[in-house]
Amino acid sequence: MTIKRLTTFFPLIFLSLVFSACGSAVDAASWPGFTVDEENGTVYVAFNQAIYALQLENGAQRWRFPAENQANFTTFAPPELTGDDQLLISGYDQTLYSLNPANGNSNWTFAGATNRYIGSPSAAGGTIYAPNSDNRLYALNPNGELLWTFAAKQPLWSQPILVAETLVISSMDHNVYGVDPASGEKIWTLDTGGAIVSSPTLGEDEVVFVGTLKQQVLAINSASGRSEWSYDAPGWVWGSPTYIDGQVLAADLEGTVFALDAATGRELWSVDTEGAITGAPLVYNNHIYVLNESGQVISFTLDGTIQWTKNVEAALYGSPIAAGELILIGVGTSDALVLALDENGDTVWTFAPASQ
Amino acid sequence: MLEFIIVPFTNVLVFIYSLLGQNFGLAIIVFTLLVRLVTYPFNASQMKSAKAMQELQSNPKWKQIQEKYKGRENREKLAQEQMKLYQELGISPFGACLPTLIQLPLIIAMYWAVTRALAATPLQLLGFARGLSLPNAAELIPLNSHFLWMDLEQPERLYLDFLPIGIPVLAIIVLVTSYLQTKMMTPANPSDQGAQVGRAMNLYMPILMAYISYIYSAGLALYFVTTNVLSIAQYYITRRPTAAAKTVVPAKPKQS
Repeated sequence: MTIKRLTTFFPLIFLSLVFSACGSAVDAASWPGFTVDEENGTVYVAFNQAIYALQLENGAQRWRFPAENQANFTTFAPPELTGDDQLLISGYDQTLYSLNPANGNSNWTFAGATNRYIGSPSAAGGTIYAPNSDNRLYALNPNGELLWTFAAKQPLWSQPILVAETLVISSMDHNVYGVDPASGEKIWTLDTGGAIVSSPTLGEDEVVFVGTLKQQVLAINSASGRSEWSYDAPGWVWGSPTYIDGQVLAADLEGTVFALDAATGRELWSVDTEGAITGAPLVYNNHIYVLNESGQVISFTLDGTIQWTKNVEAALYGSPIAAGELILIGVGTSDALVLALDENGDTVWTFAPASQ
Repeated sequence: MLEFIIVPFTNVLVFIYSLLGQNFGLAIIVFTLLVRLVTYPFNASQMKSAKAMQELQSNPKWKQIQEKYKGRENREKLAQEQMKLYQELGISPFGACLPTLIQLPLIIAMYWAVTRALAATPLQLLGFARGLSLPNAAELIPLNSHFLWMDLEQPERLYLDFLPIGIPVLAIIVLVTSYLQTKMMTPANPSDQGAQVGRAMNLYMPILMAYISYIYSAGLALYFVTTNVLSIAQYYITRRPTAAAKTVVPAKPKQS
C-alpha cells in the first residue's frame, strides 16, 4: 500500500474504530441497584442486562430476567417491590416492566415513555409512579395502564415519595415538586438552584430532605413546599440524605460524610473520606455505612468515629443496603456483582453472574 | 488518552452554552466555527493541496508524463517523474492528507466534548461534572438538550403525522454535505493511482459519517453538518488557480 493510500485510509479506519468503540448504551452506564424482600429471603439486583433474584442467605441465583442477554434490555435502578406482589423494573429501553417476584415471569410492560428510565418507580395507594428521562412522571394503575402524566422541564431520575396527600418529586430541572397523587396536578414548586439526582427522604412532621448538585442539603415542608433550612456542603450532594433520630446524614462528591440537626440544619459532625460518595449513608445496628469511589466500605459510629474500612478493588457507587444481618454492596465487576458483608466488614458471600 | 484536549473542549463548549441563553445547539455551531477558525491554516493548506492536485490532472506536462510512462513496467519511472513535477510546482502529495491527520485529535475531542456534555446516564453525568471547571457549573447542569425539533442527546428524527417513521434529517444532510466535501477534494480526472483512493473516499466517508449521525446523538450530527458546511463555504471562498493550473508547456514546433 502506498503512503498516500495509507494516509488517506488511516483517518477513516481510525475514526471508525473510535466511534464504533464509543457510546454503547450497555457498558457501565451506572451501578447495581438492590431491593430486599427479607420475608422471602430474596434480594433482587439490577445491573446492566439483567435482573437477578438471589437467595439472601448465600447469594445463590434463583432466577434472572431476561433468561439471556438481549441487546435492548438494560437496567440499573433498584427494582420496586409492590404491595400487590409485583416487581417493577426500570428499563433503559424506555420500558417499565412488571415481573412476578417469585419466578421472574412477565406480568405486563408499559412502553409509553420516550426515554430511559434511570430511577426506580414507586408504588403507593394502588398507583405506580414511574419517573422518566423524557421529563415526565407516568402514573399507572396496577395493570400498567396509564392514568396521568406530570411534566417537569428536565429528566426525572429520582423515585417519588408519597407524604400524606402530596407526591414529592425531585427533578434534574432544579425543582422539587409537590403533586396531587390522584390527578398529577402540581400543588407547589420549589426551585433549589441545582439539579437533584436522588430521591427525597422523609423525616418527621412531613418534612422531606433533598441533596442537590448545588452543594446543598435542604429541608422542605412537603405540604407547603417551603424550605425550612439549607446547609452548604463541601461538595455536590448526589445521593439521598438519610434520616435517623432527629439527625440527617448525607455525603458528597468530595467524600465528606456529615450529620446535621434535622430541625435546624446545624452541622453536628463531618468526616472526610478518600473518595467521592454518590449514595445515601446506610444506618444499621447503630452504625453508619458508606461506599466511595476509591473502593472503600467505611463503617462509622453514630457520632462519626470511623470503626473500620474495607478496601475493594473497584470503584463503589450507590448505597449499601441492609438485609437481615448482612450489608449488601454493589460492585459491578466481572469478578463480583454483589458482596455480602457482616457488620464487621467480613465477606459472607459473593455473587458473580455466569458469563453469557 | 486525549483528556488534555477533551476537558478544555468540554469546558469551552459549556461556557459558550452559558453565554448563548443555554442553547446547546447554538453552542455546538458556534464552537465548531471557533475550532474551524483556529484550524484555518491547516484547512487552507489542505484545500490548497487538494485544489493543486485537481488542477494537476489537466496540466499538459502531467498528461505528457502519464502518456510517456504508462504501463506497469514504467511505474517506477512514472513515480519519479511525478515527484519531480510535484517539486517543480511546489505541490506536496501528502498535503491533502496530513492536515486531516493533524485535525483528527480535534475531531475526536469535539465528539467526546459533545457526547460528555449530553450526559444521559449517572456515570456519564458524574464524568461530565467532574471535568467542569466553570464556577457556575452546578447551575448549568444538566444541559438543555432541546434544539429546534431535536433532542440533541438522542438520535435525530423528524416525525410527521402522516409518516409512520421518523425522517433522519440530519443524517441525510450529513450524507449530502460529506459527499460534496469529499467530491471537492478529489481530482476531476484522477490518475489510475488516485482513482481507487478517490472513489473509496467519495463512497466510504459520507456513508460512515451519515451512519454515525444516524445512530449517535443529534448533537454529534449537528457538529458534522456545521463542519461540513463550513468546509464547503471555505472551499468556494478561497478558490483560486494554483501553480499547477498556470504551468504552460511550450508548444511543439510545427513540422513542415
